Amino acid sequence: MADVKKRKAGERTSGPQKRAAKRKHLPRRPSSPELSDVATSGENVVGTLVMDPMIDPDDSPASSEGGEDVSEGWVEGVENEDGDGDDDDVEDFGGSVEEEAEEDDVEPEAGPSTTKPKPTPNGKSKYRPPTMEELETLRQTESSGGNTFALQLDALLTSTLLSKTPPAGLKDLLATIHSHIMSLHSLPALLPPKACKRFGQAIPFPGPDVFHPLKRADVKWTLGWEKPEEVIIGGSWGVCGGYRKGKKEMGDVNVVAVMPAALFSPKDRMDFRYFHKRIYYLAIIKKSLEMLGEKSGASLSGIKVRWEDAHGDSRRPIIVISAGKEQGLRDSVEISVSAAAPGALFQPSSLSPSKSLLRDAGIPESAQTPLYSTSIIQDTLHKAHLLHLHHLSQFATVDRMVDAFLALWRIWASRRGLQRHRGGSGWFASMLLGWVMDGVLIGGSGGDRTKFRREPGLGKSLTAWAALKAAWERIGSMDLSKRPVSLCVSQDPMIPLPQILESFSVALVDPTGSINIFAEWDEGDIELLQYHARETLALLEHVDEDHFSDVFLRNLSITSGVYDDFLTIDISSIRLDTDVLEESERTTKLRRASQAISSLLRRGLTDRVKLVHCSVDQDHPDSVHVGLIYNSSSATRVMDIGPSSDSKAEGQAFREFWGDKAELRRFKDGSISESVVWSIVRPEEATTIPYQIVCWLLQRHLDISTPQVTTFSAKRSWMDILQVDAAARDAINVAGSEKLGFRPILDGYEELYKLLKSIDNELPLSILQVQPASELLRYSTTFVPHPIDIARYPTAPDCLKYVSRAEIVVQFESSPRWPDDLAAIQKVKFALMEKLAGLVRHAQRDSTINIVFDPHASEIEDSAGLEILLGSGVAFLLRIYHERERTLLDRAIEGDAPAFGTSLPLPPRRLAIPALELHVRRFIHLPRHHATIAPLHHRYPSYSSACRLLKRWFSAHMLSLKIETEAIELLMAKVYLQPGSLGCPASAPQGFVRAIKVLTEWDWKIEPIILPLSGEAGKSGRPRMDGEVQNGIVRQFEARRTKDKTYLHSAWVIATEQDHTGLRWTSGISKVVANRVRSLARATLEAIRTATLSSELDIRALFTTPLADYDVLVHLHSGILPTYAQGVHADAANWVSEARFKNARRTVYGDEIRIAFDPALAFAQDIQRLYGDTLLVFFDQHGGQVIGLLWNPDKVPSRALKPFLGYSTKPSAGEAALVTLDKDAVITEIQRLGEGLIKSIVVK
Amino acid sequence: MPKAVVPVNKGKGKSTVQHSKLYTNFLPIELLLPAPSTSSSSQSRVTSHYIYVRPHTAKSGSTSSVTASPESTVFVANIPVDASERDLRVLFGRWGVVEFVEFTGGSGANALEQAVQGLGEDDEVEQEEEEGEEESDDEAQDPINDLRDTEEDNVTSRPEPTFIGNGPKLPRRLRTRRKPALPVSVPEVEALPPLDPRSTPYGRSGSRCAHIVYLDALPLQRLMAHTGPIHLPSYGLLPQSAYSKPAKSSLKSMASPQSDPSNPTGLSYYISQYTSLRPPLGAIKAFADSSMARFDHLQSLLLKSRAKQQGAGALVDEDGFTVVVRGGRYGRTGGRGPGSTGVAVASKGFGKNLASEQDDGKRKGSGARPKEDFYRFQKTERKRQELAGLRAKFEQDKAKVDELKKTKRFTPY
Repeated sequence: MADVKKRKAGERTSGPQKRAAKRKHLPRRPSSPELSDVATSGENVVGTLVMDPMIDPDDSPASSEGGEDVSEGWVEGVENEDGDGDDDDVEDFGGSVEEEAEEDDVEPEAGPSTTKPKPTPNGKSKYRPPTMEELETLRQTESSGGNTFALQLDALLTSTLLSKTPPAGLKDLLATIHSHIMSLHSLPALLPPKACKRFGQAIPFPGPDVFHPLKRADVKWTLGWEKPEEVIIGGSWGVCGGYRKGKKEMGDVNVVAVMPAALFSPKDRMDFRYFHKRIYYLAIIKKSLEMLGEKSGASLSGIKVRWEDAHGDSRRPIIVISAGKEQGLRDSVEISVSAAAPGALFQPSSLSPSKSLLRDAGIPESAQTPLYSTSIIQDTLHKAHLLHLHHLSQFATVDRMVDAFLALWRIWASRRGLQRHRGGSGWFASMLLGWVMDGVLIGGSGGDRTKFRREPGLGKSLTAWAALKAAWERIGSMDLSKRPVSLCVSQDPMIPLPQILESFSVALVDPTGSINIFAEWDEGDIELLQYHARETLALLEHVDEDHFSDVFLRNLSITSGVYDDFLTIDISSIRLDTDVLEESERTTKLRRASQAISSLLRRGLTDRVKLVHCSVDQDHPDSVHVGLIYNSSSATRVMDIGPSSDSKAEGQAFREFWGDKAELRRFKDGSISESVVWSIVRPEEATTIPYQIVCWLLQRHLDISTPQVTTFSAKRSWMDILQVDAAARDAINVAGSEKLGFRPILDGYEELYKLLKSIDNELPLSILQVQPASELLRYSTTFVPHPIDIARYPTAPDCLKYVSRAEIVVQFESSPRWPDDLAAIQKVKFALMEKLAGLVRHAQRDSTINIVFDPHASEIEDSAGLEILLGSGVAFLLRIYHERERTLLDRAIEGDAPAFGTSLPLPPRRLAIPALELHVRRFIHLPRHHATIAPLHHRYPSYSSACRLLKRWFSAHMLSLKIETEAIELLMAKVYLQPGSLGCPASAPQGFVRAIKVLTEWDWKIEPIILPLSGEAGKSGRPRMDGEVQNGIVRQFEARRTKDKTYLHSAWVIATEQDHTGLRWTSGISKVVANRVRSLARATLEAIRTATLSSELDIRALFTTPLADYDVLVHLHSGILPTYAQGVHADAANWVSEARFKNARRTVYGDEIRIAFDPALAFAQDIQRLYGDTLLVFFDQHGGQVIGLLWNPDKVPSRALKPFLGYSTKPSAGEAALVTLDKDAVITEIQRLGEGLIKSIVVK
Repeated sequence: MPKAVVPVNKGKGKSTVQHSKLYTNFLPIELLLPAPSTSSSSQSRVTSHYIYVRPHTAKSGSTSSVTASPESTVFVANIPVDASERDLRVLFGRWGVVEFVEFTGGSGANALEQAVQGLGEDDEVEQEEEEGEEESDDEAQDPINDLRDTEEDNVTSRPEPTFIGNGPKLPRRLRTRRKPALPVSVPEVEALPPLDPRSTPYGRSGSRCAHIVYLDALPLQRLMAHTGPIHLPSYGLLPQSAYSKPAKSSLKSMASPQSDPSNPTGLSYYISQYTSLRPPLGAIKAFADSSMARFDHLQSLLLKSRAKQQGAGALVDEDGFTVVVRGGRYGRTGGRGPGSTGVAVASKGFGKNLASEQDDGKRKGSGARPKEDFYRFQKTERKRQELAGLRAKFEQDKAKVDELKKTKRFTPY
């Protein structure tokens, strides 16, 4: 308060003068008297400021006046009345004259002002009265998913949409093309052979050879050329303006030349004659355009002209002209020229899809040619669809809403890799927009497909975003096979609906009621579109998060990143039984093959898959790509049960379909049915069953042998990387253990659990609970812990001898018999363990039991565990949890414990802090983490294997010491719990790829990962987190980031409901490591991306780390690493020869069974411990043969000596008495520390 | 006492300047250590390592064993990670007779034992708490410098490290050290076998320091006048092999009798560590039982002495009321107030809890709270704030999106 008054008092005197001075000075340089003027006024201010505190505020006139001022100013702020004079003073003093002045201009005309309010960063402007428009904007952004979403949408649209007025160059170009086409000379009609001869070039006539005009003898019709009836601009460009397709690349412009009716006769609809005439017509235009392009000096010179299939329809090729800079355009553009039939050329009834428009000996009378007739009709619809779009844009009230909708749809679809002619085009989007805005007729009322009812549209005032959501909902939720949809709401469609429904099983009829939009589509194409629409909506269900980048920015077009399995099938040897009819409907072999494969797989895979999507691309004319999305619960089913033995016909069909695999079986319930059984060796292999089925069916029905099918997920090497070599396993593990997976160790845990529960009365304190806290007991260790064969262990080679152990936490009841002293509690634990050891040994005669101490533990922290190796060959480490320790440690740290006469002295803080950290981690966080992660394995069958792959990846890239296994599990949990704009992965490699993708895309500097680990699931099954909790997490994160601008601490933040700071498992990850992970992930993803295209993926290469970046490489003796066999590049010779010559064995470790003994890992950890932050240590705990070291660059410069500098130094060269990091000494020291382990050291 | 040291120190510094440079009072000494040969770096069989020495500057009031004779003590910094006590003795033995070697950064002593040790002498307790900070101010205690080792802690009754080498056993000068002893009645702990296979554990690189105490002050002068590198062929090896060739390190020589079995390194260290971390169950039982007995005894001693100090019987506060407090196994009633005799609950902790509970109560109460928006101005003010908040959020989001725009995210392709 006093401060404000002070300022006010100063203003009173100085303000006006200062302003006057300012005004005078502005235009010219100040002269000296004025300068002194300013100086005096300035002095005045200073004087008052200095003086003021001395004056008692109550009796000073100046300050009381100031007091009034303050209240006035305040009232003014509230009421927003005038009071200009005082206001000026305040502003003047505040030094923000310009901004405030502007505001003053706005304020008097408050109310529905038309100017958009300009909010300024100045604090006061936030209190300005709102204008109607501003309130409107604020409210609108809230309704469209919050400010950031709306703003991001705006930003995306402004960078996408081009101005509606076409660039001058393009306008000229189109005018030239138009006038050129119109000015071509007409050619008299001739019989096809002559016409072709006249033309001089080969013409790619579409259709099977039977109908080819040059190969048929009896051709009576003629080919000619006349000036088109008209040349129009089709497509969205004319209505909605251009959009950006790529960098310096504009969306397409369609030019449609309507062929004159005089060229055709009604019979031309038959036998491809229309298409042959059409292509002849276009070929002539193309030839003349080409000539124009070659002519220098003309405005079209330099253009490139080529054929392309219109909407993937090879019957109707179009000409595509690419123009760009050479033609004086800023953005390059592709102009497609297509030929259209005049609307009234053929009788609509004669083009019905349920009729056959082909006459040939091989085609029966009753045949239908729906695709063929759709093609013809489509050529008459250019204008009608243009009018449809125009109608929509007139109808919509929101400015450029239709343009925005089309643009957003295109972006959304292209990010998902939807092909243009399979839903990615603006044309398709305009159809959907019609559905949303105008409403449709929906069939299927009362189970009858042909019974239609009207569904009204949502009207004209939708925003593009709202319309987009509505479109996803409509297309995603509709089962179009049962409930066909017609966009034609008028009563008289061109073709009666029943005829369309008769020919197509899935129908979406266009607004003119003449074609089925899905005519050419495969069932998988529709499913894929629906899948994406559904998943996008599921993503948006959770409103508290910003999903913008998931919906519009993330690129999902990498095929192996979408499907659970992605197959590339080489069709060069495919056996297809095709007739003329089939060839006319699907004119290319690739299309026919893809159709055959698609229907075959859909029938064979039944409910194992949610989606079978076949796609072909022009670059690989010999292969069909098949994407499968598994149904995670049934994909791994071992047996398919067919019809029962009673129904002969169905049984026959079943046997015909499956061949030798089909067998008649009797089931437990007494029924006898046909069935197919798939065999697997180990549990993890169940995921390859769909692949086995695919191979079997392709071989049986299409003559495609297994080597011609390239799979992504079912590759053996994915699982090989997680398994030790069979010979190594057999040398040390119990025979046949690979078939059991994690079963033995879980059984061992059960056994131990029962034992502990049963000996309760023999213990001085009873056991309260037993909790598992190990990755071994939640199916997520990189290597399955096969039980060791204790009898054969001593004779096994050294390089196999690693035995893993699972940690278990045992909590005893709390009792006054526990001492109240931390050090003494540890002693009680020792005594309890000793007691337990005796009891366990008594119950399990063949077990080996030890109490194992932690090295380097302080006296007050938990420092020992009971190590039990059961006779079955699995090992456990049992720790004792006493909850009072935490209270005592908290008191020692806070130092404000209540003191009683019986209280004992507390340990020093410097010991208590690490002890508390260890206690909380070991006894609270780890068991809780275990309890939340373990169910994921059951909920998502592929989670476990995916997690193991990711762990293998991290360790293979030598990050074992840097990234905790729990953090990796959380990362993988993110992939499953927040699959983003895709569904949950259902195969392990897919989960792995997605996790790698998360790592590349995660901008850890600005965003935390927030995981709803225990959140309840929404409608779509995706768990969500309470909004309040989430906001709290984000706030904490932002506060930390503003404090720590350089990300020195806490690079990764992975928050869950249990851990709001998000640093529980990631606190040790530094910026360097986070960057390293990201660059490794990028390289991995890039390798996968290129490999899926060329279908040669070397999985081992993904797990091979580059060693070039390390300063020092410490190579270890491989023969003595107990984990050697787990290595990515382990050489089998190391254990094969050892195992063969048992008597000539060289062993360092002798016969003793050492549990969790890994000297290399201990050595690497010791280096990190002894050298602290001087060195970063990188090591692969699974058979890594090399330790990578990086010097901390901060330690290299010379500095003055201090005894506790924290790193080894030597006097630096030069006069000054400074010291510098002694790298050589450190390296030789490491060499001494690792004597016997180190083979060589390479210093870069 | 420390004053006597300082002039010597300074004189030394000046006199050695011609020979070698001092680094913040430290004299660097280059050690030439035998390097284990590996296939890649076999040419240089000897590598250098610098240690830094300085006469010890004592801090007054410290009762460490080292400070008893500051004038003959050397402070050594940057000791190699794996140097054993014997190595230091061999090295510093060339300037005089080393009495003993103490590595700094000891373990934290048992809090209960300290409390019992302090019984009877109040000022002793204060001093005891300052232990471990005997270095002068420029040697600020490195927080990570604590060698936490259970085994060391458990054997706290051991007054100083004992030397296990084969070197000549030196006569120890009799000196009365004021180490507060525990009462004789306290039972001894049956110690566990050592958990660390090394008699001298590894220390953190660059933070490893030690005090070398000579028998007299003379070797200090010789030491500080030293120049040139020192060859230590016997580093890490047993003394009898000191004059033989340095060992070739390979798998075979690991078991060679030349290396010091009490300080193994490398693979043999890890193998023996595995064994020593798993002591026999019998030893653990004995250790746990004797430790518990000792704990019980110490606790009863402490409580007994408190009872004696604060008067037995019921606690009576200043106003004459009897204070009832929670009793334990030993105390019937009794409180330990700061300074006074027995205000039972005299803790900040409880006060805090009480206060927060009261706060909660206030918030929950549905009674006479000021009505929100009673005055019109309150309502206007609230609405203004809401609008301002909305605008602020809008601005914030806009800034955020602008930031994102700069990263070129919004490309439609």
